[in-house]
Amino acid sequence: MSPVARSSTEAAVSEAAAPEAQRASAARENRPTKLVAALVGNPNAGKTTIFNALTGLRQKVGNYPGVTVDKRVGELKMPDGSVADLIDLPGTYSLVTVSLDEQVVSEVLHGTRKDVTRPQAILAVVDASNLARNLFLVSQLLDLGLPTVLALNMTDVAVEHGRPVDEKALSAAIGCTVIPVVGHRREGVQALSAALAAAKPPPEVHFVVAPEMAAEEEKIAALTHASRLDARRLLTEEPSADLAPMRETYGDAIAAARARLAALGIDPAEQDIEARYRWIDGVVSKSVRESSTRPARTVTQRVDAVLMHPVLGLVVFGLIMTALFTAVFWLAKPMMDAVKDGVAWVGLHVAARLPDGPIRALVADGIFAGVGTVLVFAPQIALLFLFLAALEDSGYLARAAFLMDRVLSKVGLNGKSFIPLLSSFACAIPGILATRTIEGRRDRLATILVAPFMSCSARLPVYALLIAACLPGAKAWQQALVLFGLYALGILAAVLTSLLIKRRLDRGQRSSFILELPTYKRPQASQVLYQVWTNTKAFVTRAGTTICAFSIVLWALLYYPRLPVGPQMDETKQQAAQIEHSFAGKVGHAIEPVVRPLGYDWKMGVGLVSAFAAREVFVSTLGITYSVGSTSENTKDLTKAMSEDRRPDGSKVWTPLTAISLMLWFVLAMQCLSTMAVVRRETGGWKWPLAQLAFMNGVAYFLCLIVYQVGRRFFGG
Amino acid sequence: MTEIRPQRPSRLILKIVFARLWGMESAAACAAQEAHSLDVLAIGSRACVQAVRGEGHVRRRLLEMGVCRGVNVEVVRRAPFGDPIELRVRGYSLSLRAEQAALVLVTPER
Repeated sequence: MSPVARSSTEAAVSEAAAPEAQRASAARENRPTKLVAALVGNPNAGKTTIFNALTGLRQKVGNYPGVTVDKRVGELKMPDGSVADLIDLPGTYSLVTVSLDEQVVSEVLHGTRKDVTRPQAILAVVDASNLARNLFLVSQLLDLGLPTVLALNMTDVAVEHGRPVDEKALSAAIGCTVIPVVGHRREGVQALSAALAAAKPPPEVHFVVAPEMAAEEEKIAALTHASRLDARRLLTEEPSADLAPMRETYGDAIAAARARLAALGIDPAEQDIEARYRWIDGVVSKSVRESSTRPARTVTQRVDAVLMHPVLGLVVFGLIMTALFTAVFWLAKPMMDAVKDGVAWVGLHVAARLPDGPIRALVADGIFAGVGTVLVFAPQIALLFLFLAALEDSGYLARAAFLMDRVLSKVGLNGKSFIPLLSSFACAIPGILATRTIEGRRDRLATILVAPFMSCSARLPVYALLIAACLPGAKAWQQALVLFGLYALGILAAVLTSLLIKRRLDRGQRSSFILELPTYKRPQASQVLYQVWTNTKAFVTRAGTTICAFSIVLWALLYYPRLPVGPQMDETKQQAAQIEHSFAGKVGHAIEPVVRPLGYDWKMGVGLVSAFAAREVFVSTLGITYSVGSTSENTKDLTKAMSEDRRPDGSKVWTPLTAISLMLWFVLAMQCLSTMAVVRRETGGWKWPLAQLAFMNGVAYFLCLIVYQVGRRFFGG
Repeated sequence: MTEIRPQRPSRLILKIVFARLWGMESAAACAAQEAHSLDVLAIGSRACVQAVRGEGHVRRRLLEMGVCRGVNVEVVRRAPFGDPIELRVRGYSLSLRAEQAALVLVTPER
């Protein structure tokens, strides 16, 4: 950076910090009372481990407004006893923006995000075992001219690979303090804060490009009065927000310069990147000493010989995914039951202390029912994240994406779609949140749109009830077969939808797959548990608010208007009559003409409306409408009551055909408000969730209609 | 199986001279050979990148990940259904779809 530019940067910093700076002691010069530092690094460089080691639990997790990128700020204890803010920026390969994550990193570091103070220092995490590629980002960070410290992580792996990094030579070559650390053992981490407090701006590095391009840079610098560095960025990048005004004013001159270079066969971006890598090659040759004990094959290479084997790799992949799936359902079951009973027990005891009336009903049937519905999924979601975080931390998830990319790209998805789709079998919400790792917007959107077709665990109780109603005398294996068919149908629907999206949405948006396969690591308990905690919390708060709110609304719809208490009726009969009389019952009757062609009556209509809170609420609502109570022990009574239910003309309400039609509806229809809320958040508007609702429910309605009407014609069901 | 792209001698000499001028010895060495695209290389073969084609984000990401002129790459393996492929470049593993690998022109490593 030229002297002019550097001083202007500092002026901007001290200006922004002016009120605080007045309060600062003279000894600390222009620095505001609170140092703000940014933690930057490549994905897989071990950034999060170092962040957690440095800040412990003194963290604030939020969201950058307007984008779905998590914002984490931690408190860093400095050696002089003061406290600094450490911003954990998303892992990125470059400051030139491709993905949302990179955009946030670039905006924060260039000081163009209004919600974040521009950092005054940078802590760059560098993977010593992958030095060259990691130094690319460092070369861009040096351009910023901010005091920079390099945390040289995974030095143990570099030694193991026979390519140890000499940190003194590296420091001399770059001009920054370099602290060797082993993040997962917390070695050297304590030295980082002292180094950060003492850090100086690095010397300017001049990355040498072709003379024709250098000449154009000078012309632009002279024209715009920008530094040479900014002139190069104007030539090479899409405009970052900090350069946008300049880019607008001098757009013609920049375009002309680019055209002149293009005529000479020179691509400015390529020149810049190659110049950086030439500098990197020099730095690496000075600081990496190839040791004589270099292993022929690293551990990762030997493990990959099995895990990435064309046949064995797929077998192991299948085993790992089966284990994950089994664990998420079978291990979670007792915990889910315990949570369900626990919440019900507390609800009962709280309700017992309240006077009989609307308040008591609200607490018991609205609030506690809602809380229970949310919390019952928490153990399963937590288990899912436990396995996913362990797999991700180990480095296997990238391999899973590699193995699955071919199959998924055939149907218009991406190797990285696999995990989000697998998660969606537990619940579409964590699945949709997990799509953030998919870089291409097109692939990410396609994954979000098909994820709700995966049969989530909230559908399972509904399937169980409907299978029992549909095949009363069926053996367990026959029921299992039907269940399998329902899951397969969901997958088929997802494949067909994705193919449809591929044909409709692909114009001009090519999908790509460029993925680093990181070295294997042993997953760390602290890291994994941290992921479980934040993700489960995110699920409970995001899905929870929607489900609880809807659950209370649903309670009100079922509770009002009140029916006078009849003297002869027992409690459950009274409840059933109350439901028919309530708003929800009226809604059920109102939509009956719409759902009748599918074979449903008003009770199922009420159930379908209530299923918008969470699909499994369908079962408990039917329990209430059939006056057998809403608890799970009454499933037998419920199927009996259902089988005895008759239409006014004496025919059975619950024929096998009705049950099949309902199953189809539950497989295909979008009827989960919290999923829609999450889709809205992740896609930035109501357009996609509403399109999804219209498409899924349209397809479901159409298919149910055909199946029921054709089935009735042929089988008279 | 390989797509051979013959180069005109005049262009080739220009390329070598240009590369020598800018201290890119390895790039000069690359330019002296005929180029294939990376996706057709056999497993285990090593090659030297000569050019990265394509445009926009994909090209930029390839370059940023270290796949740029003069660098040596090794094709480590293909995924079970032949795509994507795994490369070893600058000491780490990178996977690319054949579609992206086709953007990279290489010559055999010397």
